[in-house]
Amino acid sequence: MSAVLRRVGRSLPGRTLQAWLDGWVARRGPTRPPLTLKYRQIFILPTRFGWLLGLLMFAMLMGSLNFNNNLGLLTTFIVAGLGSNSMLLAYRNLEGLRILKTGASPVFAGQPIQFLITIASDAGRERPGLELRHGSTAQVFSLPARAITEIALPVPTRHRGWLTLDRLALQTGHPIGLFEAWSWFWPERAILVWPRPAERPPPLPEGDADREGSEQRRNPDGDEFYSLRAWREGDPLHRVAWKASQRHNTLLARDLRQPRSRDLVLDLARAPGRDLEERIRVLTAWLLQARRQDRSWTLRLGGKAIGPDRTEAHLHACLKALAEQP
Amino acid sequence: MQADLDRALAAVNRVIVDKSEVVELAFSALLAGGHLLIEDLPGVGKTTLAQALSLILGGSWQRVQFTNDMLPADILGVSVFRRDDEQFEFRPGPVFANVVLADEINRATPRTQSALLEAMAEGQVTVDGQTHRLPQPFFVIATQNPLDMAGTYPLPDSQLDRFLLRTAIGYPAPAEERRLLIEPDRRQLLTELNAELDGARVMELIQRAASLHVAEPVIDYIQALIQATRAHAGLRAGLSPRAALALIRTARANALVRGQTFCLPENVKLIFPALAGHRLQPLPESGLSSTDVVEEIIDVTPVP
Amino acid sequence: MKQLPPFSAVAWTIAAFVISALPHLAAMPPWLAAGILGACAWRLAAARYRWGPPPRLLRIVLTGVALVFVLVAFGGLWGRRTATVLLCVMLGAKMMEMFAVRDLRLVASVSFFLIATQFLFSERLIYLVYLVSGSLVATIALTRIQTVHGGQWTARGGSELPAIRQAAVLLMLAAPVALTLFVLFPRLAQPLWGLPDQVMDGRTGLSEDMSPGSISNLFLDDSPAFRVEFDGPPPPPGERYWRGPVLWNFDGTTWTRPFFGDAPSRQFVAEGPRSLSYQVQLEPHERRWLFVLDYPVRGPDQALITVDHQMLNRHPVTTLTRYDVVSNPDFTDMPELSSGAQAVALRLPEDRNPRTRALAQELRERHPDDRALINAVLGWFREEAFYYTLSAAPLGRHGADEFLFDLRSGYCEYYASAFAILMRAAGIPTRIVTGYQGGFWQAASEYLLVRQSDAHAWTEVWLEGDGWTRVDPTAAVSPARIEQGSRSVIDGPRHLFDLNWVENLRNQYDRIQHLWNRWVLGFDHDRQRSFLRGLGLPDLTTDRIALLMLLVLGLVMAPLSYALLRQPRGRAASEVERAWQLMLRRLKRRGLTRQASETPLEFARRVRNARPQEGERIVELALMYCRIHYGEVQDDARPFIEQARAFRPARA
Repeated sequence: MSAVLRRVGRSLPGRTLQAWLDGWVARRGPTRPPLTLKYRQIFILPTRFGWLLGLLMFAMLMGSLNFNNNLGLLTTFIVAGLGSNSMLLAYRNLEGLRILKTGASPVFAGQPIQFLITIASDAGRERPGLELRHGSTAQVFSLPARAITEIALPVPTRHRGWLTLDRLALQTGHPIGLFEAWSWFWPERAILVWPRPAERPPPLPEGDADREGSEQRRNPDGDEFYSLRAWREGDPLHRVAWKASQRHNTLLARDLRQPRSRDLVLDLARAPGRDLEERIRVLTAWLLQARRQDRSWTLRLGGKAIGPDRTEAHLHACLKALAEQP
Repeated sequence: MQADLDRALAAVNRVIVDKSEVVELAFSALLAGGHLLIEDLPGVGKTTLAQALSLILGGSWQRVQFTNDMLPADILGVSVFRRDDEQFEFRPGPVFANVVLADEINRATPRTQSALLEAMAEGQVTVDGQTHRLPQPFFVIATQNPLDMAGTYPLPDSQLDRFLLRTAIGYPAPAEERRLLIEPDRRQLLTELNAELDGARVMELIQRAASLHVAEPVIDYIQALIQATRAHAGLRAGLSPRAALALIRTARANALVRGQTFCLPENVKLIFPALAGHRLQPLPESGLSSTDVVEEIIDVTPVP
Repeated sequence: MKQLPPFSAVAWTIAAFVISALPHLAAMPPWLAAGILGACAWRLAAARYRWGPPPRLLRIVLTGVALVFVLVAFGGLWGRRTATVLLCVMLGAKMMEMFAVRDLRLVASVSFFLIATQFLFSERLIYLVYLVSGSLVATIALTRIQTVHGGQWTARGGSELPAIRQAAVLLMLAAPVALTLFVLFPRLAQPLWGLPDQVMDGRTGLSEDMSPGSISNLFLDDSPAFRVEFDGPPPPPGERYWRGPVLWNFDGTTWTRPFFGDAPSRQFVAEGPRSLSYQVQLEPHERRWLFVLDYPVRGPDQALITVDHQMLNRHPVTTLTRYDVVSNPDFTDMPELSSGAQAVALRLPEDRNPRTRALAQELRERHPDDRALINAVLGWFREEAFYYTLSAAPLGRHGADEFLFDLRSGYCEYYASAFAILMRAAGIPTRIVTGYQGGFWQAASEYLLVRQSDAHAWTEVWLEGDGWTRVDPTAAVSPARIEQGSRSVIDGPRHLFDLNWVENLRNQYDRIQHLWNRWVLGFDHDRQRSFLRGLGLPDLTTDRIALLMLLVLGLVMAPLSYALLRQPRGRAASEVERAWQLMLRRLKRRGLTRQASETPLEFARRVRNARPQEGERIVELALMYCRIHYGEVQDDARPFIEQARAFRPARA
């Protein structure tokens, strides 16, 4: 991408210009995946090296013309031919590329997001020297003929919540770096950034409820989990999970590795911490701890309660709710 | 011949309700000379399917319920010293059958699993230095529980590709499930099955499948799919050339199962997820499952 | 410290620089060239052994020292040679800090510039090889640098072939554009700025003065001096005197041009019945004169005809120059000789050549008539034991005496000089004309090739009534020299390969070179216009030519772009596939688009669900298509093609 255009947007009038530019780009065609790069979305400008060679070419042209030096002119025109072809080739390297989807798994604030962009090429030829750029990070790759690939761009995160990435650029300087062709696109959706867990959280709030556990811990280490399995000879009758068995039309037995304790209640309002952010961080750490210990918990946020449950999905729901806290 | 196959298919579909795709895959695996792994919850009909298949094929069939105290000999067979003529006699294990149902294969120890998997790969069994050929056709249907149960040994990734296809059965649709509840017991239906095929005819069908016409565009399509797995950044490695050959073989078998005289991209599309799913290992950081990747590849690969 | 560029990119860049600098290196002092090559070698080694750049101070000092050396070697004179040598030295110095992609690119692209500058010195055919190889290697270097920059380095591994192939393709694709521009880019009729008069090259050619012995090195030089195409038949060999500098002044050893040598002629030469019209292609010789036959009537616009009928270019001829001349041999030059001119044409140093002077006195007494005297001298040359040889001894203080009485063997300069001295001593106004005589007639291509070895010197004497009259004493001694050319008088082979077939080969080569000169190098403002006229276009102004160029460029670029931008998607489509595609396009216009990942039947069934009334037909056609496209039997394609083409989806 032209360095000039990249630099636009640092200053206030630059930002206005940037907004206008983005709008203009958006008016030219789809800008969010899935999209296929067509001529309306591909921009092309000489690189700094391209300008330099252009200058050199101009000097050669003037000199050769003046001295009526035809071989000099021929050399100049060969350079001109190289230039015009490399413009076409740079364009061709992008044309028809399909940006299928973007996305990322959520991360904790402070960790970099691995932002994944899936790109496919149906062309019967290789597409070398592609570059995917977001801000100052870039990833260079090549696509073989009729290939699909996934590019991971690390994006730093600072705050919890939904992170909206600004535009990405898919660009190329192929074949000799005289021209840079690029396409701008925006991610399909925002990325969830979970709160950063507190580094040294207080212990889980065990004493919150006064119901005692009804079942004995079979395993004090407690890192095994509860499940159903096919009934085997020798299994006592009281282990048969009758309801489940009926559902599955076969006898199922409970594996008696029961939870060692009752549900935890994790309440934002009662979590320790000086401010909201710190309480959220403590809660995050607790959630992770509870999940590690395979315990069931309920998350209370103001009037809302999530759970009780113990699954990975539950953890994700809770983390999302915490991340979205105003 | 084709009529026999159609009848066999119809008969199995009568027993296995609403799972014609799985039945089709099972037949495809059989006619491609491979083995089938069914990964699903207990009680969805894995065993019934296996039994139905074995009955329809008319050959011998064996069922092995795998447990953690099982030894390789329990599967392959043992040499027994005979007192009367003072000689060793080989007593074939349950693996010596045309159709072997290996139930809950992941309950057995890796050693026992390996014994079966090697027999599957080689088509023969070697016990005490003596090699015994397995019968032809030889078709293993193994089942395993997807839940990471206590006391199970998941099949090693490196040996998963001994199974040509892997599939799940899944719950029946509500209406079908209702039928299942009203109609007589499946076991009852099984007893009504006739052997529509026999070993010789299965071998002939396998031969016929192998010579089915595959046009250039279909080969292009298969190549594109294989390429896509290799180029996919979310995967540890793409599919091997052996997997590509297996894909074309199974697509042919599927075409035969469907009564076609040539291979269509549809056959490839049906087979590909079952063939690639267990051969591909997504990188953990990509957050994708191999099913996601396979679906994505099918969604973006153009059909020529 | 950034990552060091890989060896291959550096090696190609250095190769591009060395190839493009090769002719420049050959023209500079050897120690300087060695220094530049040394820098290249150091950089190669650095790339091989992963050394970093040398300290900054060392780089500055070395660069400074090199620049000082250049200034000393070239005496601070500013010329094209100095400029290119400086450029080479700077690039050599650049080797020490060529560690970033930017620097590599700079050096590789300046290679093109170096190639272009070399053509200011020579444009011989052989340099086409230089142009192509230099451009190719520079393009490979640029390609390689880009693969480094684009991060494909590790992906591509070590093979150089892809880069070479890609660069070759890139260059070949550049050819149509380059040729279009070459033919149609408007040329300048007049240069925008002048050329420096500073002559830097020791190029062989006729010099400005003559002292017997000075042209001798030219006789061994078979390189072409100029080529001539005549509008009619060529003049006979005896008439082919190509007039160069006319020398009036003699200081005892050297003949030089007079102070009025550049003065324009005030005489008007009219065309006559024997007028000759011809075009000369003059190889650059760094002097201003243009060679013509006697007497030029008119020449090109930028040329001037001097008082002694030389033709002078406005600027030194530094590139191949083509000019049209009309000459009329029937002209009386200066029927009246002014007293000033007569004085100059008779002046002789008093203290030289006493025996010649005595002979002149004696002849004058015997032959009061000028013409009789001249004939007597020429007869004496013919009858006495005078020999024509190229291996002549150098002459001393009394050159004419030594030659006429002792040596009696020499070549044209000896004869012309001695004859002129004798004439002047006898009171006959005489001047020396240098130039070329003869030439090789390339019958097949109808042009006259005049080589450096055809250089010649003759005299002109002023005769009452006839004005200046050409007298060639060499012709008296060795008529073969004049009739059969310089090669006939050479005593034996001049070098090992002086054989007939080599000579033939040489002539063949010159014919190619001539075409090259005519159509490539000589393709100037005038020739461009006449070329366009030849195509049937009217006389075009420069801006019209520019417009035409853009038009043709568009015409050339359109198919090129199409070929480049077409994304091949595997095999070429068959008729069946095209019919199917046509059907798909028609459905697409109705809003039914097949997804790339949909099989024909999947698509057809989807359409059937959306639009049942037509769906059946589409499924039917799709089934037909599948049978042909994926099936084994191919012979029933016709019905499908016809039905698919006839298919028109109804409006939704």
